Amino acid sequence: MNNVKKNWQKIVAILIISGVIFLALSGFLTQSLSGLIDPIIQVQKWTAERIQTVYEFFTIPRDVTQLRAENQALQEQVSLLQTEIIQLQQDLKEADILYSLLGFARGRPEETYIAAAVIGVDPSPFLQYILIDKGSDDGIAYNMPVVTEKGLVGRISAVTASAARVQLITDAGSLVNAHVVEADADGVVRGSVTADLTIEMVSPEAELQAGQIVQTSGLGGNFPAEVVIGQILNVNKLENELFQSASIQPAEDFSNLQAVLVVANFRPSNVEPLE
Amino acid sequence: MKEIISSFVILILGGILQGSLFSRIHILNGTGDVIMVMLIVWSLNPYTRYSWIWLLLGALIMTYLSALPLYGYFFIYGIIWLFIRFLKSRFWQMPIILMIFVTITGSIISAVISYFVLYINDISPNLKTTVTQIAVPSLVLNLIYCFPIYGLLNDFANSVCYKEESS
Repeated sequence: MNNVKKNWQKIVAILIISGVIFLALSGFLTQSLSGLIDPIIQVQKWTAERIQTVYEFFTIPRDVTQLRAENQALQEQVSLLQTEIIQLQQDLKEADILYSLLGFARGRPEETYIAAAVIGVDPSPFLQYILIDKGSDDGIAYNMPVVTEKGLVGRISAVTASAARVQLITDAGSLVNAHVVEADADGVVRGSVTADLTIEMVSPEAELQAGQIVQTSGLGGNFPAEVVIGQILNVNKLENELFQSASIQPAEDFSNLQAVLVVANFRPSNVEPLE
Repeated sequence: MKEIISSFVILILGGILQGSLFSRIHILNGTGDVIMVMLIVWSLNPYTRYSWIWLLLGALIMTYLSALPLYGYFFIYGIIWLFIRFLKSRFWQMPIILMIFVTITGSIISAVISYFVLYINDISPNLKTTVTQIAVPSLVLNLIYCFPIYGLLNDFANSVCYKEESS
């Protein structure tokens, strides 16, 4: 009893605080508290904004420098990735070409091929020759036929140890014995200085028409038979001429050659002693 | 000495570019001859002394790259080089006009000799087609190439050969 009398002030204070807490938790003091807290929050907000402004004033230049460095690093990464993409696209393109060549080679299992990349074009506009990156060290020999998956390209005209020169069938000095399949007619495909192809010496009885396929005949022994040369574009047939001729659209786009196949096991026949 | 070393380097680079790049750039059937234009620019420069190296090495590179028989490029470049030697002593004050004139003449000489070489090899191209499809487009390309090549190579020749001459 003496203790209660001695500590009545503390007990009253605890009871008041407990009551206030009880009232606050019960929600009876919400309006009174909000009226009390709102000005504090406003002050807090105002202070925080000013502090944030001051903080940004001191820290943003550092962030810009950091962002610039990050931007630079990201740009470098983007450049690197773009280079990789270009490289991969080139690889994909090369792979496509090689797959096409491989498909062609699989279709003619009787022949052995050496794949070569085109590394140069004859600088003289009068001549249609290309340089390839395989030479006698790789088994390339003079006069070997050169093809792609689309058709006949030409023949080897000169060889060094590590490179070779190919005379395209569009060259003015090129002659290929040919056969028009649908018309069952033989002729000679001749190139020109303007890289146009013409089939000549075709019998006037043959029914040549645009769109017919021209392929090698194998006569003369310079090229393997049944390799596609191109398609007939226009027929030139005059009544009094001994032969008819026709212009040919080559199967291969010679201005954009990237890789070729050299027919390694084909040995051209030497018919000169018989001439 | 610097002139000789730089000649080798520039001509080999020029040969690689000619074979891999400039031979693929066409106007109709004509292509430009960068080595010929380089030979003209180097030979026209008043300070160069070894332009004959450009003649021999340039012709050698082109003979390797091209199937033109009978060493046609030695004839083509030899005639152009002699022509420049002849003109240089008379009109040396007007190098750009002289360069344009020699480029036009050199292109014509190149076309005529190429045609002649093919002709004696039993290939007789149609003359009209040759002029309209090959000779004139090649001439135009050579004229297009000659200005940037003159700008680059003439300054380079001045920096290499003028110092060499003065020292």
